[in-house]
Amino acid sequence: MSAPAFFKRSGNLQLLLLPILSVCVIYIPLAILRPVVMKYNGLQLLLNMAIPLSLVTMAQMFAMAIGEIDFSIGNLISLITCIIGSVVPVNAVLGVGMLLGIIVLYFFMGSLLYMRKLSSIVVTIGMSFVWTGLAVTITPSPGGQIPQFLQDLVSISSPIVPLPVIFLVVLAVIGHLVLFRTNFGVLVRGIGGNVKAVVQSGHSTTLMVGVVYAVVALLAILSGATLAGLTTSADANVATNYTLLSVAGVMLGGGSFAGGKVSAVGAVLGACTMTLVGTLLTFLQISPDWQIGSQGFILLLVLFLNGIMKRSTEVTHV
Amino acid sequence: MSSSALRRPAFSLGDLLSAKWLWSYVGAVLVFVVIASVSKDPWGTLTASASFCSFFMLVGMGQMLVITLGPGNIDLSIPYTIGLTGFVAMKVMNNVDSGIFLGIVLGLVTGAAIGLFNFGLIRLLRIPPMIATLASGFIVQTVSIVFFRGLQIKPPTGLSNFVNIKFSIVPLLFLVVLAITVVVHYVLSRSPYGRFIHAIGQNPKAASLAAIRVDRNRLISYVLCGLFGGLTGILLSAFGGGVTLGMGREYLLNSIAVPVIGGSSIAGGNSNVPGIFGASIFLLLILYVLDIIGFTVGLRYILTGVIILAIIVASSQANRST
Repeated sequence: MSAPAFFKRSGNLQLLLLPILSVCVIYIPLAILRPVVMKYNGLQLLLNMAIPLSLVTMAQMFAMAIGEIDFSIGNLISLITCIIGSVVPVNAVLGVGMLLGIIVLYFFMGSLLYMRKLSSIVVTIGMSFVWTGLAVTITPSPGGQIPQFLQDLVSISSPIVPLPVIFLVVLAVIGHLVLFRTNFGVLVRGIGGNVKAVVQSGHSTTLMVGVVYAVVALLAILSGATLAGLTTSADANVATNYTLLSVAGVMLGGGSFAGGKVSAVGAVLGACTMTLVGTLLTFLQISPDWQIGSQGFILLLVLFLNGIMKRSTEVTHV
Repeated sequence: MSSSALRRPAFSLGDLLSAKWLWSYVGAVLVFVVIASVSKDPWGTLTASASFCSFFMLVGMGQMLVITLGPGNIDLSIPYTIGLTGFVAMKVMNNVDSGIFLGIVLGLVTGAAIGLFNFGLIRLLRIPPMIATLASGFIVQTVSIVFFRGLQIKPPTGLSNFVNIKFSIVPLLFLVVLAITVVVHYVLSRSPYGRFIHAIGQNPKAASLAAIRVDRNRLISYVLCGLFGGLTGILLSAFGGGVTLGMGREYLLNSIAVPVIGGSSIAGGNSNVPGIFGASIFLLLILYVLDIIGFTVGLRYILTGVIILAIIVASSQANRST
């Protein structure tokens, strides 16, 4: 028993090797260029934006764990900042009702996707129009008033270790425990790995897929709320890049579409890498024009390296 | 399987399939009746839609060739391909008629190169098509931004005249695209490539065991998709009087919606060319209705999404494993 368990453990560690390495590869040049990023304030500024990004990456991770993808998540998060900035200050009940409505809608969307064998990519690209339409209707031009408590919440000065660092660690640990130590996590990975087995075990897969989508929506709302707190404005286009960044984060963290293989720790590390890449490019005085393309390029590079590593492990085990 | 079924895969499922593409035409006629009841010049609407319909058909056909390859195959880089090829073509033509030929050739080569790059990522780096084309799309977009931002070159008069030629009320552009559609239909139903991609889409392993060169045929599909995107980019720039960076944005959803509404299976292995025209004109007439009712941009976005989703859900099948 102990031998396979050991292999499994070392396998998991090996999966995390690349995400850890990629964070280091970006962080070390940053620290050399600007030593201030090793200090409390520097680290806080550097990783602030990793809070909403790690939450959306975690959301995308749950979708990808069941072999689906949410292509509308960037538009959804933009909409959430609009609800929080433009609806909540005017009518708090309506605003909170809308957020809860999004969770319920996601639950039904997930169930429907599964029941009708719909392609999640087609449906979520369609939904992205709905989210952007709503966001533009609520907030025609960027602005709004983000509730003060959200702005205070994301700028808390924690003792010794900056808030973003504590947050990322806690999120990674909670995500890991949910995925690997709860029945829910087993079922989520089961749906991704072998949906027939989950059906045979007597669980309602339709219900489960719905619940997973509700979790995706909940994490997206948290991401939107923290993003709104950080940017202090509502903007219908603020998070459109989050779709690529979240998928990239999950893949950087060793996750894949097939087989319910995901890692919460990896996803958080992946989100950190994507955040740091942006800063590094700015520090290197590379024009923002190149930003989105270089993030796409890094995604491809890491997937390529991941592929090589996976193939080499497969060979040794065979 | 009878030999006639093998020869004509698009129609081998008989009633079920023909009913599927028929639906898009039924929808188009219904929407047209609605327009005719309120509009003074319904035929004018129809012919005005015909030019944009050509663009929908081109991207829809490109995406269909990729989707037919089976689960997971999709090209998300189409919107950015449209933008970049438009820029390349307009830059090469440089507003003079003598540059049109070279501009079109280089525009198409750019489109094909993007398709080749996509397939290279998928095959050599073993990245899922969705991720590969998503990432390559962003790279293509960056290339457009870096090299062509702020570039305002009008298309040569020869080309803009060509895309605006009308035979009485029917645009020549539409007839050309319709002819391309007929060719694609015959290629898919009669040529080895057409039969092979259906076989690959239905069961890649079986196709491979049947000595079909799976990779070569997948490569052709991705390159053709890039070519169709490139052609759209060139024609759209000529039609719209220039290129903008976000020119192709709305074509992502539409490129997928057109084949799916037209009766092609999103899971692959089942293409449907006759439905491409029906679905394109159907979608365009819906967009036109939303436009004339005078909805705000936001509401138009919402309704576009909801209507397309409703049609896709309505045409889906129940999951038997539940």
